[in-house]
Amino acid sequence: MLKKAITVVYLLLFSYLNIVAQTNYNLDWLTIDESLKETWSITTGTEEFEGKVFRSNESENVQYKILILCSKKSSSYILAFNKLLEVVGGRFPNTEFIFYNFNKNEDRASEIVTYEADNDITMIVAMGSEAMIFSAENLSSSDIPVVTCINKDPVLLGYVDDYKNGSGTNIAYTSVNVPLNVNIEWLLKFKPNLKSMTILYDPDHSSVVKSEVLPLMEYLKDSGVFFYDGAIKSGESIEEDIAITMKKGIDFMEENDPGLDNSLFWLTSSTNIFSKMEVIAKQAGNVPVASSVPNTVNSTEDSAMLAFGIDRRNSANLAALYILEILTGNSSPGELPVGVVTPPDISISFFAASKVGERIPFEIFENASFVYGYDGRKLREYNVTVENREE
Amino acid sequence: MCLTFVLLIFVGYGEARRTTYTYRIETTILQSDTFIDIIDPFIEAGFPLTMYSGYNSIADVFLESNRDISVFIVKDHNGQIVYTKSRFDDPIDQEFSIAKINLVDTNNVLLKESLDMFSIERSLPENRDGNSGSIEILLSKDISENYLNNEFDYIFKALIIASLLLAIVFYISTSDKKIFEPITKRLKDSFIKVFYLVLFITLGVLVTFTTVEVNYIGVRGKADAIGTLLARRLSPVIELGLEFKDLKDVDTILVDFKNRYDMIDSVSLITSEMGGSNVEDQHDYILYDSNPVQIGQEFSPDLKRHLVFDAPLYFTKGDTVKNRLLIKIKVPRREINMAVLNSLINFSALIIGCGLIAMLFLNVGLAIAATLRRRHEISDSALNTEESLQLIKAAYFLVVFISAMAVPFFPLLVSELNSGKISSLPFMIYYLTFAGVLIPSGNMSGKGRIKETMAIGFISELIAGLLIAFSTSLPLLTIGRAMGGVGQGFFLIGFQSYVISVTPPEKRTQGAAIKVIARNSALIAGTAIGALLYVFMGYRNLFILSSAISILGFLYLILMVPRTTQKFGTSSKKLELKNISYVFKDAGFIKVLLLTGIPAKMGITGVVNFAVPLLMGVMGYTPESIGRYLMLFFIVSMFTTKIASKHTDKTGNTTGILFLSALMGGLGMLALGLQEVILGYNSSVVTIMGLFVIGIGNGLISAPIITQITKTKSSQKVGHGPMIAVYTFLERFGHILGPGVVSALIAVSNNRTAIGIALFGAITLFLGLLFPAITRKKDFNQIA
Repeated sequence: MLKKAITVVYLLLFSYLNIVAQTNYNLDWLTIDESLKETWSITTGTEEFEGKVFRSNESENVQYKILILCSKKSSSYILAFNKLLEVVGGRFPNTEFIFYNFNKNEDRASEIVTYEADNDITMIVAMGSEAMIFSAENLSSSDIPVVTCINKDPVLLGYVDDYKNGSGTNIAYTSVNVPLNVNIEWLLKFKPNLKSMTILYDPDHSSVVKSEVLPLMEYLKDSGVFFYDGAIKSGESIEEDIAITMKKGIDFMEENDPGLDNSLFWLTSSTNIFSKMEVIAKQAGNVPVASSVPNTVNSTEDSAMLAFGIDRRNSANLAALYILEILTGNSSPGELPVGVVTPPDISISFFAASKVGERIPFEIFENASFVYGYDGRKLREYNVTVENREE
Repeated sequence: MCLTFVLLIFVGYGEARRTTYTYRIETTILQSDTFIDIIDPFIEAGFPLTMYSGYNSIADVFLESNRDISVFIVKDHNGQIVYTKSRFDDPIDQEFSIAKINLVDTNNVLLKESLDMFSIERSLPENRDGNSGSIEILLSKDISENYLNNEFDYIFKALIIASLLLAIVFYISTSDKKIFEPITKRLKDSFIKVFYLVLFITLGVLVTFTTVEVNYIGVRGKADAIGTLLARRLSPVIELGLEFKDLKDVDTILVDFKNRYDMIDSVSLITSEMGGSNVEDQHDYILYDSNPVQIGQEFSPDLKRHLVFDAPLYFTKGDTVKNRLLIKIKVPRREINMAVLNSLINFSALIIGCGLIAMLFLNVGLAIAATLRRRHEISDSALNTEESLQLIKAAYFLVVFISAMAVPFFPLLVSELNSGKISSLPFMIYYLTFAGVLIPSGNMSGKGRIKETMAIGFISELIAGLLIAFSTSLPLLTIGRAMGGVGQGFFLIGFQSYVISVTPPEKRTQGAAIKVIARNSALIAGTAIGALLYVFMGYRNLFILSSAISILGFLYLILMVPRTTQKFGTSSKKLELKNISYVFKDAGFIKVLLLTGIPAKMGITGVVNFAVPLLMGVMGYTPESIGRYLMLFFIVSMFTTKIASKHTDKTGNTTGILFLSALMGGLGMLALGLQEVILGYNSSVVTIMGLFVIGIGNGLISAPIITQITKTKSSQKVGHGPMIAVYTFLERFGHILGPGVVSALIAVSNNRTAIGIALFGAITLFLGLLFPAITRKKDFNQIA
C-alpha cells in the first residue's frame, strides 16, 4: 500500500516538475562568450518575467534599451545574442539589452512588451520564428520598431509580400532560410543519383513545416525521389521517437535504394530535432546526414556530415546591421527589405564522412565556408583556413 | 636622325608594353573562364547570384595565382555588387574609359582602362529568367611597368651611346676644319650612311630581341598562370591536411580544365618522388590526369613536342621535397612558337614603319649635311634637284604623318564623342575643306609664295591638333577635322608646286613619285605608330604631340628648306574658279579624270579604307591583322609607284600605265569580292593577293596620272601648278564619293560587303577598259 502511495506521489511530483519545466521562463542557458564577459555585466530583470539585463561597463549612461524576446531555449539564440552584443554593443556601448524567454506563451509576451514599453524601450528584437510570428500578429501597429532575428522565411510564412520591398510597418524582417532550389542543387552535387531521403522535422514547428518541409516534399514528389516523412513530435520521448523514426526511415530508403548509396537523412531547422544530434548521428548508421543548419556540422563526433544554409551568426550579424540602421535613423523598419544573408554557408565534416565511408565532391569542398577534419578539428572557418593547425 | 633611334626604341617599348598588357589581360580572361565554368551550373540551376557560396574561395584563388589582380567583383544583372574582394584595404577609386587594346577574343569581354589599372568585365551566363550578371576584375599596371622598365634598361643606355656616336660622326661629316679635309665628301657621305645604318640595325636587333623575349615570356606566362590557377584550386586539400582520395570528381575537374583551354594538350596532378639526391632519381607519377588512362603511370612527356609547365600545390611544413604534388601542363611547342611568330609579324609591321622613317631621314640628314657644308660658299640654289627633293620630302612626310596617326582610331573617337554613334560628318568635312582650299592655295603658290603655302599647312595642322585634343564634343572635333583638311590641302598644293619648280621636265614623273613615296611612307609609319601611341597616350596627348610635330615641321620648313627659284615651273599663272570650267572643255582631261582618276580615289576611300576592313572583320581578322594587310597595300603601292614613275619617264607611255592601273585595281576588287561565290569560302591567300593587286593598281596610277595631266592641252595654257591644283581639287570628289558609292553598292547587294566590292571592281574595270578605247592622240601633248 505504502509502496503504491509512494509511486502515486512520485508520479504526481514528476508531473508537477514536468509542468514547471514546460513553463520554464528562465534564461540559465543564455551565456555570453568569454571575450564579452569583461565588457558586459549581467543583472536579473524584473522578478515577474525572469529576464536578464546586459549593460556595458564602457558606458555609464543608457541611451538605447533593446528588448529581446525569444520563445524557447536554443543554442542558435546564444550564438545570435552574442553577435548582437558584439556588433550593436560594440557600436553603441550605451545600449542596454533586456532578454526574456516567453516560452511560447503569447500572453506573457504581451505582458512583457507592455511592461517594458512603460520603461521606454527603444526597440524590440524578435528572436526565433515564434517571436517573429508573435510580433507580426501583435506588434505591427506599435510605434516601437521591431527587428526579427533567427526566424524562418517571413515571405513563405505570409507576413511580407516579397523580398525586395519592406513590410511597410514597424517591423524589419530577416530570414535564415535559403531558397529551396539552392539546397536541392547542392544536395544533387553530393548525391547526383539521389533516390530516397528521410526528412526529419517537428510537425508542430509550423514555420519549419511551411517554409522547408512542404516545399521540399513537393519538389521530391515531382522529381521522383522517394522520401520518408520523418515527423517527430517534441516531447519527453523525443530521443526514442527520433530513434524509431530513423529506423523506419532507413528501412524505407533501403526498399527504394538497396545499399543506401543514393540516400540520405535531411535534417531541417527544427530546433527540437537538431538539438538531438547525438541521437541522430548514432541512429543514422552508414547513411549520411545533411542539414539546412550549418551549425549542426561541428567538431563533435555527433556532427552532421554536411549542411547548406545560413550560419546563425551571419544571420544575427545582418539583424544587428538592421538594428544599427534604425537606431542611427538611416532607415525606418518598414522600408528595409527582408534581410537574407548571402551567400549561404556550406559546412562539411570529414570526420563524419570518414565514419560512413563517404567521399565529398570536390566542388562542395571548394565552396565550403566551414570544414572540419578527420579528427573533428576545425580546419576552415568563414572561408579562412584556421591558423595554428597542428600538423 | 637620332630621333629615328628614339622612335625605334619608343615603338619597340610601346609594342612590348602593349604585348605585355595584352598577355596579362588575356591570361586573366583565361583564368576567369574557370570561374565562369564553376558558377555556370549554379546559374543554370536557377541560383540567384547572391546565393552562390564559392566567391571567397575563387577570389582567393584568383588573387593568389595572379599578382596583377587587385580587385574581384561580382555584379548582378542590375549592376549591383553582389561580392567583392580586394587586395588592398583602401577602396579603389579610378576613372575608367574604354581601353584601346585589341584582344584576340573580345567576345563577352568589356575592357576598360584607367591610368593605373585595367578593368575586365565579363558577362556571366544567363539564368532561367534571361538575366545575366557579370564579373569585373581590376588589374594593376604596376607589375607590368616594373618588368618592362627592367627589360628595356640596357636598350635605353644603348640609345644614349648610339646618339652620342652619331653626333660625333655627323660633326666630322659636316665640319670644314682642315683636319678633316683629306676625307672626301663622297667618303664622308658613305661613312655616315653606313654608320647610321649599322647603329639603326644594331638598335633594331636589340629591340626586336627584347620584344621577342617579352612575347615568349608572355605566352609562357599564360600557360603558367592557368596551371597555377588549377594548383591553387587544388591546394586547399593539402593545405588543410586532407587527402585527395577522400574527395570525388577531382578527375572531372582536370578533364573540364583541359577541355576549357585549347592551348593545353593534357593536364596532370602528379606526385614527384625523389629516390635519392640526384635529379635523375626523381620520378613523377600521375595521380589524376585529363586522360584517365594515364593515371598511375610515370609522367614522361615528349619534350620535343611539348613544353611542360609545373605549378606546385600548397607546400605545408609537413611535406618534404621527396613527396611533392604538382600540376603539370603539357602545351604543344607549336602553340608557343606560333604565338611568338604572330607577335613577331605584328612587330615587323612597326619595324617597317620605323625603317621607312629611318631611310627617309637618312637622306634628309645627308641633304642637310650638304646644306651645312655649303653654307659659307654659295646660295640655296646650289642644291641640286635630288637634294631639294629630299629636303621637301621630309616636310611632306611630316604633314601626312600627322594626319595618318589618327587614321586607326579616329572613327572610334568620333563615336565616343558622339554618344556611341558613328558620324560621317568629320570625315566629309575633312575632304570638303581639303578640296575647298585647293584653289586659293593653288593661286597662292602660283604667285610664287610656295613656302608660305606649305607653312599655312603646318599652322592649320597645329590648330587642328589642338582643337581635337581639347574636344569634348562632336562640333569642336568636326571644326578641328576641317582645319586638318585645310592644312593638308594647302601643304599638298605648295608641295606639288615646289616639286615642279625644282624638277626639270624630263624628271617630272620622278618628282611626282617623291610625293607618293613620302605619302605612302607617312601613311605606313603614321598608321602603325599612331595606333601604338594612342594605346598608351590617349587621344588628347596624341593630338598635342601632333601639334608639337606641326611646330617642328614648320620650323624645319622655314629654316632648312630652301626657297625655290621656280626655274622649271610654270606655276606662276593664277588659278581661278574659271579655270575649272575651262578644263571641262578639255576632252583629254575629262577622260583622265572620270575614267581613271576619280574611280581610283573612290577605290581607296570606298574600298580599301572603308569596305575592306569591314570584309576582313567579317572574315574574322583581328584589327591588328587588318592594319598589317593595309600596310601591305601601302607598301606595294609605294614600290610600284617608284618603278612605274621611272618606267613612265623613260617611255612616256602614261596612257598604257593608267589602263593597267585600272585593270589591276578592278581585278583585285573582283577577286576580293567574288572569292566566296567562286570558292565557296573566303580564302586568306585570295584576300592578301587581292589587296596586293589593288595596291599595284594604286601604285601604277599615282605618279603617271600627274604627268598625264600635265600633258593635257589645258595644262599648257593654265600652267602645270594650277592645273595640278585643279586636278587635285576635282579628284577629291572621288575621295568624298567613295565611301558613299561603295556603301550604296553594298546595300543593293543585300548588305554583302564582298559583293559590293566586286561591283565596284567591275565598274573600275569597265571604265579602265573604256579609257584607252576612247582616248585619241590629239587629246594630249606628247611632252609636258
